[in-house]
Amino acid sequence: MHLRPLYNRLLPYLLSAPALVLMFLFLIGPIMAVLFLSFTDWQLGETAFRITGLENYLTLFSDELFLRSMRNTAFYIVMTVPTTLIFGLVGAMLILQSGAMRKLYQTIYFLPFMGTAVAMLIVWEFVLHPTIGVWGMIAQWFNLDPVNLLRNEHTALPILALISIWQNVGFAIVLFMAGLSGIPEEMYEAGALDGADGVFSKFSLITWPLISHVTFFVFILLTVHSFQIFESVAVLTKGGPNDATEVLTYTMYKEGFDYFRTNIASAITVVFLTGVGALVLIKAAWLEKKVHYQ
Amino acid sequence: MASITMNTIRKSYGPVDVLKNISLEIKDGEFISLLGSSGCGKSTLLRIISGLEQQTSGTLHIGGKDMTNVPPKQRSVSMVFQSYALYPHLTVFENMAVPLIMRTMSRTQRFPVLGKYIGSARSIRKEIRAKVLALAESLDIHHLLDRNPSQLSGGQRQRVALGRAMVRDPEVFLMDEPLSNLDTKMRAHMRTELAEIHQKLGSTFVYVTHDQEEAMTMSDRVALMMNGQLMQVATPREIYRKPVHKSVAEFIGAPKINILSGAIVERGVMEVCGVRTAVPGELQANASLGIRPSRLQPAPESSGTWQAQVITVEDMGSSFLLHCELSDGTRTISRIDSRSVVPERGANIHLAPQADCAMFFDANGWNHACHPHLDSDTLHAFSTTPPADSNADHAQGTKEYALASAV
Ligand SMILES: Nc1ncnc2c1ncn2[C@@H]1O[C@H](COP(=O)(O)OP(=O)(O)O)[C@@H](O)[C@H]1O
Ligand SMILES: [Mg+2]
Repeated sequence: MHLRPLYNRLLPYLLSAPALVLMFLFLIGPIMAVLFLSFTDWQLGETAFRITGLENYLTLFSDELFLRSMRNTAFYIVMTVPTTLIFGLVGAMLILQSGAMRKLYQTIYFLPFMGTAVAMLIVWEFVLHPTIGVWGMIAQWFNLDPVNLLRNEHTALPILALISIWQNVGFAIVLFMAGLSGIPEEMYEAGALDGADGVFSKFSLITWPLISHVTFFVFILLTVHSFQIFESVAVLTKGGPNDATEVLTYTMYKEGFDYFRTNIASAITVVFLTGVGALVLIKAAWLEKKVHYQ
Repeated sequence: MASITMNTIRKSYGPVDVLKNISLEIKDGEFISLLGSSGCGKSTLLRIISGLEQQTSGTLHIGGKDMTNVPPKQRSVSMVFQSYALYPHLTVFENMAVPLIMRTMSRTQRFPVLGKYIGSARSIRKEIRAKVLALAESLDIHHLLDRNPSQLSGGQRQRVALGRAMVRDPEVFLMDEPLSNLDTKMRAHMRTELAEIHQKLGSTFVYVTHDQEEAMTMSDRVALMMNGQLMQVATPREIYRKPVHKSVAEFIGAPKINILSGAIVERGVMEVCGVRTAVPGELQANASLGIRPSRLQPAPESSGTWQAQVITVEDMGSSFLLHCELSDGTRTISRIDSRSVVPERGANIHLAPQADCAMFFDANGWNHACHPHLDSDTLHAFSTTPPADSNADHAQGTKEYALASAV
């Protein structure tokens, strides 16, 4: 006769069990494993391992290549995020004013984001090819030396940044368009009567403050996205030339799957996850504040 | 000085004519209400005055100046929006300061952070601060200056919106149903307060509302709109007593006026539900009689009374509403004093119209007493002028009404 209350108490756990199990198997479990492995000297294929404490991290932070890939990743983020943000916002404002063509533009800009990354990158490889590509043709017209932009130490990372901007602007545009359409027309009308009827004053008095939450959201999303840069490096440059496009995820991949140094790869993963986690926490904290404020 | 003169203003959105031929003159310092049911074009007219919308044709003058192509900020008008339209990210103080900042400070002076270090900016900001503080004090919102609009009650937001509109001393205030988002008590309170503010400032108020009570209690004149046309522009007293058209009579006054259709049995005699009344001789067939509920009272049977059955009795506190059905099936409403004898539901009684308060409408609905010299075919729109003296005896029946060309 105590069965029913017991059943009632267990029911919530039973119902959430499948989700919990899956989450443990595919998310929490691997993260714990990686965290653990980063404190050991275990390498793929070995049967025994030793706990080495912080040794892997010490190795990493004195490793020139790792530091280079941290710097490259940071530089890549700085190149992509603000530019995508600005183009996204300006694009969204222009599209919203374009009336009838709105849907068409929206689709065109959103396409790169929807397309398969690797397929798109192969197209880019062709476009950038110095002899048979579009870039080669352009260079010829202007009598420039058609350098291989992806094989040049100075241009490789900026070119990858350019591709990322091209891919993500559409995404930013769509989010900004949603944010901009959420501003009540009356706000601008009140502004017009109050004296804010120029492009600059409308933007600074109304538009910018009222989409700040969207801007912040897009900013965090783009930063996380840029932080995760991998496909373009793997497909187009393989970290080269001369480590110029060596980025965090690619270094992690090489350590883990080329050199089978699972312990080092795990330590890089932990550094990487800490970065992403910090960004997500900032976003959550900010949203919390925003909700409270409203 | 800011009188407003509108001359044959039309506004269409594509094929839809939202405003048809509006001509109206608003005196400097006048409180005028644009009254009408929802969708009749009140807001559109207000927005044309503000400059947020351009008329399709016709002219608008404010303070004698032609307003064609004059942007909103260069017109000396302020607007209070129905939703208040306060800037949600700014404090109450900043909200109220915006109109001054945008008008008196240059772009560089307004520039965030850096602008603070421009010497002239500092003294201007000081002046603005003093002005906002004084106004906030007078509106009794000085204790809210640091809050955000989201932290205010409806009534407080309303005051802030008023403050923002008042801070730059405009010559014309435009208000689009400013009280409709408030609860009944607050609404009554703000009504008095708005009237006081109008008296104090002496500026021109154009007040849009669908609530006849607001329009009747606050305004010097009421402009009644229907379907994008001005039906009548008159003092509250006159529009109630001398509605130019049946539709005006039905719109103004609660409960609604009783309209009874009658037949002209011979020249100057109309028969309404078996009772004969003398009417103006010009009335033709299909005329009708209008009688306000307070002027249709139970009475002992006589030749001038209608036999009626009481359908329901509503107790309104200070009075009762008697819903009756006449012998020909017409429904009527009478408002009777709560101290008089109240008939029971289902009782057979007699109702007597107070003959000198009856209105007669011709076949097209026009009130005969207002323009007996016009026959309905030649009625056409003509402009309206404000009364020379708003205290004049309106019983005289000035010609301050607008007639629409088509009904
Ligand atoms: N921008 C617009 N485009 C098309 N129709 C409009 C527009 N603005 C208003 N209308 C139409 O004009 C009519 C009058 O609107 P409005 O002036 O807002 O009425 P009110 O304020 O009296 O309720 C309505 O039928 C409305 O649908
Ligand atoms: Mg309206």
